This record gives sequence, structure tokens and C-alpha cells, in this order.
Amino acid sequence: MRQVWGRNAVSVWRSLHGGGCAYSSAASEGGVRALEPVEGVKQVREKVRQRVIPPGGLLALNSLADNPGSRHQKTRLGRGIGSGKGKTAGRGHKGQKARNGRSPRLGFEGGQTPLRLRIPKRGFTNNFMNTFQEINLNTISELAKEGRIDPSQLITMKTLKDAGALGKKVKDGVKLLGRGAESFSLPLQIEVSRVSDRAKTAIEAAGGSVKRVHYNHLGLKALLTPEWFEKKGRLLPQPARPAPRLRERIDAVGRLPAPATALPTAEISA
Amino acid sequence: MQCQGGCARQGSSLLRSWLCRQHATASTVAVKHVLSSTQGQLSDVEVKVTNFKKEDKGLATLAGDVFDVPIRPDIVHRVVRWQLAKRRQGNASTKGIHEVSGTGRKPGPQKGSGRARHGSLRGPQFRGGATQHGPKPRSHEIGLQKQVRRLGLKVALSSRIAEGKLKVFDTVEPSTLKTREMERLIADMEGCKKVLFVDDAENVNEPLCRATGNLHYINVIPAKGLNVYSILQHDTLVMTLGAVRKIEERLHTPINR
Repeated sequence: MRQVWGRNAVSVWRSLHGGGCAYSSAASEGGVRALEPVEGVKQVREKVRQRVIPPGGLLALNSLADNPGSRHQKTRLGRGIGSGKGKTAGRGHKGQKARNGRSPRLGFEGGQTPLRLRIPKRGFTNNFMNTFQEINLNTISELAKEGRIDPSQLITMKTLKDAGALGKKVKDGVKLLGRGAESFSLPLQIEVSRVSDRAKTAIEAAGGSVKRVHYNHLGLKALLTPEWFEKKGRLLPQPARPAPRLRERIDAVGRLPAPATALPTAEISA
Repeated sequence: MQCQGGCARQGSSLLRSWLCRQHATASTVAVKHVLSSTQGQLSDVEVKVTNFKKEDKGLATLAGDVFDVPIRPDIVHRVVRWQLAKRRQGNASTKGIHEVSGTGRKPGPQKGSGRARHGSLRGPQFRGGATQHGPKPRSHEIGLQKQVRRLGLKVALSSRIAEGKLKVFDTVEPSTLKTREMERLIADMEGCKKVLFVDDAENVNEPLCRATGNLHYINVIPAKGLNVYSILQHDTLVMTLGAVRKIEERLHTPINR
């Protein structure tokens, strides 16, 4: 495991030893100069050079340093010609922008109609919009290959989150998308919030099934983090039925806690 | 062992001669001059347990994830920087224009006097005037992740083990209170210039403190006081077995969040 040796450890010691490592000083002391280096000598020299413990110890207080590039010196303005930022300190000459504490407000364009007013307003913000966390078929194949999910069991949004496929924040649910549909061949049983047509076709062609299940916010929290409820001493909530306008977009109400077996097709009703 | 000029096995003889020139001595734990290639593998370390009288008290196994971590000078640098910053008093203080003694009256009229315009006689350009943006009493403490602080301690301990400068005693109680005796004992321990004794009791061993109190190159701390800067200040670390176990237990306990 050579990688455990930080570049820094070696470079610190090499700089300590400077040009003359102990090995070469021994050579000069003994009056022997390896004029034609034998391969064995070179290897030994390398080995010794890299593992020699300096006289002050491996971690001498006068040779500690952080990794190069880890600390960035900030530019100090107005400190002489040589710094390149002396006198006017990068502000040019005179004018409002050169003054201390005074500059036009953000977006002000000197009186010209600013961009944000030149462009027309558009649309509205839908407060009831649902944003779904996306997951593609190729991700699922990879997870199954790595062994992070078990394709023979029912895959719910909870199993995906536990496998680390969804990140920390799952928005309003999970939507299954079809990137990697051509090479997808796992017969999966999967329960997600939404699914794209391509993904659905690919899964059913492989012999699996996709069910679109509904969870409201509280239900999703109960599905993904049931330990929060336990810590508060509360029972898990009842799964809520969807609003009528959502019924055509889903197949079933989500179950709590996360189910282990797939829904029999007969029981699916919006 | 002389250096053989022109012999076929030049490499190993040169290495050997260099090693011999180091003051390798037969101490209870041999001081090492070349780092082992297996260092940093998180493997358990076997050390001999001994004491002041140089008795052999058997072997002790030290946890690998505490005493055999890869050596990281950058981590140790961060921890030492943190330790030194947080111990600063931060008492430097200067007077700003509102604090400098003197009136706030305008020295002369704005126009007409032929001299430069001033609003106060205590501005930064004046003799006896204020200091602009000077230091004020403040805390110089910086934050450092607890995981990094913990790793720093592990790296420091691992480096002492790798150099062969960590000795484990079963007890650090000296036989007499005489400083002269302690001086002789330390002189017998090869390669020790500054020694740090780590005891596992709540209050450090009284006889040891008495015997070493007047020696500037020996310090004694309890196990809970073990820190990276102290380890680095001393070239040799002498811990009791109890202290070792306490440290291992502390470093194996999950960090309280």
C-alpha cells in the first residue's frame, strides 16, 4: 500500500535531507563513489531515501507544513508597486466606482432600462407542483451489479435511498426515467412515484413491473425516515389518499412502512 | 564495519555502514532510523512492557487503528496550529479615534487658513493619533473538526511508535524521590533528550512529579491531557500500560455529536 505515503511526507523528508541524503554522505565518508551504479545500489538508495527518519523525528515541529495548495494567500490591496495592486488598488482612476462605500445598486445600468425590466414577464409559479427525484435505468442496473440493491426483492423508494442512489433530499417522490433502456434486462418489481413511458416499456419487456404509488409529504417522510417518528414517540401515519386530480397519474396508494412484497395486480386501485 | 571499495555488494555495505554510524543502541525499545515498509497498515503493534528498573514485563499489543496509522504531517500541522491558536491570550489592543484621549473639536476653519483641512487632531496621520484597524482584544481560536483532532493524536502516537520512541511501562512510580536518581535513569534511556511521561491516574503520580519537577527536560501529564503538541515537543514518550488502554478506549469511543 504505497499510496498511504502522502507525497508530502516524502517531500518533507527529502527537503530535510536536501541534496545530500545520508546515503550519499556515507558514500563520500567511506571514500567510495558509485561511479557505475549497479541496479541493486540504486534500489537500495531509493529505499533508504524514502524511508529514512530525519534526526528530529518524523514529525519535527520545525518541519510541519500543510499540503501545498491548501492555504491561499489573499491579495492585500494598496501595499506598494511591487504587489501589482498598489495605489489605486485595482479601481482605476476616480469616478463613483472608485469611491469607498458608494457604488450603484445591483442591476442598475446607469439609467438605461435594465435587463430585468426590458424582458417581459412570463407565467406563474405553481405552488402545488410536484418535483420528483430522477433515477435512470442505467443507475439501477449499476446498483444491482454492485450489490447495493437486490433485484429479486421489491424495490421501493426507501431501498433506493438506503442504497445511496437518491441523495439526501428526495423532493416529492421518485420518477423512473429511461436512460439505459436499450441494455436493461432485469426483471424488477419497483414502486416509484412516476415513471416515463420508455422506462416502463423497458421494464415490462424485461419481465418486471412498475407501480406508481402515491405518498404525500408526511407519508414520504414516514417511508424514508421512520426512525424520526420513533424518536419522537409517534406512530407512523396512515397513508393518505391522493387528490382526485392526481388519481389518473398513479396506480396505488403507497404503503407504510416500506413494503417488502409487491402489490398483487388485482388490489391496485387509484 | 568498513566500507568496502569496489566490492560487488556495494549497496548493502553502504547502507550497513550508514546505519552503523547512527547511534543504534540496545535499549528496551530500539530506536529506529529507517521506517518500516509495513508502517501505516493499521496493524496491531507489539511492544515490550518494562519499567524504570529495566525489568521485562512481557509484551503488550497496541491497537493498530490508533498506533499504526499512516503518517500525515499535514494533519499534525493543522492540529498544532489549532492548539497554538486557541491558547493565545489575544490581549493586543490599540486605540481607535474615539478612544484616543483628546477633544473632538475641529482644529481650525475648513477654509481660509491656508493649511490642510482637519476635523480632529487625533486622526491616524497625526502624532499621538489613533491606530487605524489595529488589533483589539479578540479570540484567536480557530475551529478544527473533531475527527481531524482525533486523527492528529493517532498520527503523533504512530510516529513515535514508528521511530521506536514510545516506551510502555507498567508503572511510572520511581523508586526514590531523588532527582539525581531520575537523572541517571533518563541518561540510561538511550536517545532521550526530552521525555514525556503519561500516567493513567486521575492525578499524576506524586513521587514522579517530585523527582522530575526540577528537570526541565521531563514533563508528566495524565492520560486525559495527552495532546499532539506535547507529544511533538518531547522526543520520547513513556506511557503506562493503563494510560495506553485509556487512550485506546477514548479514541475508540464515537465522537459525541
